[in-house]
Amino acid sequence: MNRWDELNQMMNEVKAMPEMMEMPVVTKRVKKRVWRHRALVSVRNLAIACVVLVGGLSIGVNTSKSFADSIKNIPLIGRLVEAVDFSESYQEAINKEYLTKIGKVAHTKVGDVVLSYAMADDKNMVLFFDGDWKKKGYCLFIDSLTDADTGKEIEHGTASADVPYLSEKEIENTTIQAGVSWREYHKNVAISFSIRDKEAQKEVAENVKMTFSNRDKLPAKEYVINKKFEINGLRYQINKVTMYPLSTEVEVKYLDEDDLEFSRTVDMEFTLSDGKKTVGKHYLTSCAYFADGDDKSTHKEYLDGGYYWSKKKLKLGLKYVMQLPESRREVTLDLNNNTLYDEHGLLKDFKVKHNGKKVVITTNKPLWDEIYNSDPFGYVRDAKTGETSWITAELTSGEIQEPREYQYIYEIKELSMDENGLVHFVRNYPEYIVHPKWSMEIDTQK
Amino acid sequence: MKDQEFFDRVESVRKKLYAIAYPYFNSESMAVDAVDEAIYKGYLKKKQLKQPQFFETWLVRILMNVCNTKYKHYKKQVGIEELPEDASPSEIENLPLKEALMKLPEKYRQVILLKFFGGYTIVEIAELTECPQGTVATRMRKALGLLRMELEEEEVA
Repeated sequence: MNRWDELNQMMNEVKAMPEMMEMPVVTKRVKKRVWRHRALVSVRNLAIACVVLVGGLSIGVNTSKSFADSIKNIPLIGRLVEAVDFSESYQEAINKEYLTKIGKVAHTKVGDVVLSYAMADDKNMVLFFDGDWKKKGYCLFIDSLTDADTGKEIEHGTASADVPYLSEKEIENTTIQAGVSWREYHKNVAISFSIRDKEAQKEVAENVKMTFSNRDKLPAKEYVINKKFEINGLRYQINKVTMYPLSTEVEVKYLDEDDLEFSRTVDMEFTLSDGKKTVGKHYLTSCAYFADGDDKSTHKEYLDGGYYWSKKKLKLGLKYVMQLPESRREVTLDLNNNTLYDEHGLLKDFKVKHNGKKVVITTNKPLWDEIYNSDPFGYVRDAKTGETSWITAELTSGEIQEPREYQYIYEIKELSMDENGLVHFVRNYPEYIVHPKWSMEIDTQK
Repeated sequence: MKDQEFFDRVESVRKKLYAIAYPYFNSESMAVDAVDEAIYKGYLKKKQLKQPQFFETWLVRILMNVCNTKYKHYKKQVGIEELPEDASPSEIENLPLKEALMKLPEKYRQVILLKFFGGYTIVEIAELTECPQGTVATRMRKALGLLRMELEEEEVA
């Protein structure tokens, strides 16, 4: 076979497209990824908005002018524990010295930054930075993580680490905490981060790089549960619970949701309790939706506590299940008379106005907003093709007084309107929020 | 550009995208991964595309960047050493074409893949790679020379 024959053979090989390249499959995959990206951006934006997000911590470490002098400036573990309001599992992990002391220093335009400690499990990593911060109000963003052994970029979700607001005190150095969620454990990690001046809305240091090593990975503990339960006629099965040092994964199968475009179960949240304290959803890992596989009926929920938290028997509880019947999923916005309705009639909880290029949908703070922070409608459906496309609303909330008004502003240009001036929304928020009295015991000694 | 229009346009070029990505890795899954990444990046940046008629050029450029980045990691992992630009054909003549392509210097490999797997002309490749046509034609000749593949002069031009 000569080179041209080989070339023809290769060209024929690529003509056979794999199933994974079928357009509906590609579209679904890409949309899912975009959705996850937007969820992560929301997390990041939320992190900017809240001074205290990941842990809300502030400790004065020392008054040294530069951290680069020596790693002796790294705060002692004891002081870290005293000063920082960690989640229960993290505190125990720190008490039991699950932390790895790093002590790497990076010199930046705004002073030295020390990566003091790191701790990680299969799903999370927490990094503790100390900095000779010259100005208050900086955020530290992790831009990229790379596995230092393979050179491969690590897919991750992060919340920014904020320098706490310390206007009353002359504290030059503070410890801050940055949370990372990832799909699997990485021992040797190269990190690139930037530091942002929140007030000036600009980066003050970029591409700051360092490499560090986490401790050896500890094994996960897996408990096969296979427990079925039913809520409002929908059946679920908890397949297994996997405990990592810092977090817990609950795998649930939605038994009646296989063939639906949108699941009738909007969300569910579990809790883990040792009898005294209860932990809930792991904020970052759950937001990142890292565990979603190809099987859309199998869901993984993450809890903010791992086996470092407690050696006692733990109680796994179901805090709530949110459901949305199919008949409530499709909502029509009629811009002729500014109304929203579904199969059952008008949606009276909303007021609609449209003003130029904007549709403003107003509601008082509803129950679902307490626990399900999302736009009320997440997609529009093309009336002719039935295809859905993603939409997002700008949210503005009213004064902090009851009843509090929430305004969701949709851009007209993003909304596919049919010839009758109707927009076909796909609803996000649940119709039912059920708080089942369901729990089961997990013996962590097994 | 609306979502639907974006995905409609993707549909019309997806075969070409896959055909270009595949020879980088000779792996179906890695090619799918690269195409996904390119579409995803394109989706996030679709507002930056001011002239929809250049959609294909724009997306193929994104794909080439994605493939080149992924290929840099990939060749380190599997230990591929690219040939220097002044290499002689004897260094790869005994290799199967698939392997020989992977060893070509990046800019040579790029023109070969765009021409034979993307089906683009030299003029189009010049637009895609933002290089003068003469440079593309020279690279094409050198790449074919290294692979010991002769083309008629008008085919190269």
